[in-house]
Amino acid sequence: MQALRLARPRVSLRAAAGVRTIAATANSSAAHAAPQTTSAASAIPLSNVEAQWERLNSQEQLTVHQQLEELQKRDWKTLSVDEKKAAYYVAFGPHGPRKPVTPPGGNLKIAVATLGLIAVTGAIFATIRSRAPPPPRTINKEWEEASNQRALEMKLDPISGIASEGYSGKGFVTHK
Amino acid sequence: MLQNFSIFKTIFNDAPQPWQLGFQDSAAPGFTGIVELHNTIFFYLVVISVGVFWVLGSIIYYYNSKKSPIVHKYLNHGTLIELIWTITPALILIAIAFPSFRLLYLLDEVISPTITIKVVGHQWYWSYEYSDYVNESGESIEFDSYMLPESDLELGQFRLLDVDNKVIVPVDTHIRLIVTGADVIHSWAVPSLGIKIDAVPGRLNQTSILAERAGTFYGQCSEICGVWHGFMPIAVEAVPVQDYLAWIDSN
Repeated sequence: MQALRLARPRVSLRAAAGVRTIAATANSSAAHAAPQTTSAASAIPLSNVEAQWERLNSQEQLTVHQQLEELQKRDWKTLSVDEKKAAYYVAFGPHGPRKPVTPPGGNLKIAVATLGLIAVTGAIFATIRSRAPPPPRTINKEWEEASNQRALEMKLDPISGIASEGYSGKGFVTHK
Repeated sequence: MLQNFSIFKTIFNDAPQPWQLGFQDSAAPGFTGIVELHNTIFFYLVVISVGVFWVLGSIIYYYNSKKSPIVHKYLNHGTLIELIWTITPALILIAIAFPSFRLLYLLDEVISPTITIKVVGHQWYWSYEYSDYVNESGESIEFDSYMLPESDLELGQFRLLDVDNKVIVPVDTHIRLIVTGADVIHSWAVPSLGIKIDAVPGRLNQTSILAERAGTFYGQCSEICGVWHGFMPIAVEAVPVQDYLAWIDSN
């Protein structure tokens, strides 16, 4: 709760700043094309703004902003559901800098591609392994037992290792 | 079987074993000191780990949103705790530094050596020279030490570790090693003797060994020196003094 309470003023400040910037850029252009602005303002309905938002040009988006600013100066309880939705969408919706980085279905694409690459790697690994020369002739149980025997005869690691008293490890034997 | 690959009847041997986690057994006071320092530092490591993980675990366990929704979110300064976590590590570092420096300077010391052996790293073999012994024609004992190829190994010998000519040294004798490289940087390392010293071309590095028991001690080049860096092992054979003298005579 505390976090939300702290976060709220910051978000509204950012939104206000955003509106101010757009307003500043639009004001200069609005001076040149005043009649068009008014016609656009009258043409944009506030119902279902999120569906058409991407298609609006910046001039029209500014108009919607201004419309909503005016509306929100009134008592919020008097706003219609569509107007409230539009106000929320314009201020906090997933557009502009809040547009999701990954497009819909993007995660699945990445997962499939990753699995595919792992499969390709596995195939390359298996191919190389299948063409590899046989393991050295020292890697077998007979040789390892002979190594153990030699190690015992030579008292290898006589303090804590294979030739020490009470040693119970396998020494060099790794094959069953 | 032993006589097949050793001129002596018994040799003792220290080599790494499959899945070995600990050290090889020490054969020199230097390595005993290194193991001792390792154990000392490990004590502090365990104390620090227990402390840190205890703090971390308690925070995770007690300070979650269900058990303790109110946390010290705005606590950003505490003199006592800052003093504790500054002074304690400093004391621990001092406690580690003293034995560490002591060992470092002890290992650095070359104590009146009886024998000097020159070790030269090549791509990819080692060569050794015993310059203390010169025959009538002025030649000293010199030999190259190559890894035994797999085809030459006899049953039970260690692949990638056994060599054709081992370095023979007497036990309980202070020996000076002068190490250099002929082409690129190599590193002459034998764990049981506690030695790892770079063989740098154009530079003579010096260290000393004192083998406290008879045996063969294996090591490997420890500085990447080219494609066959992994195939230039080191084998040092420490023998009783009379056997050493017999070997000198035979060469």
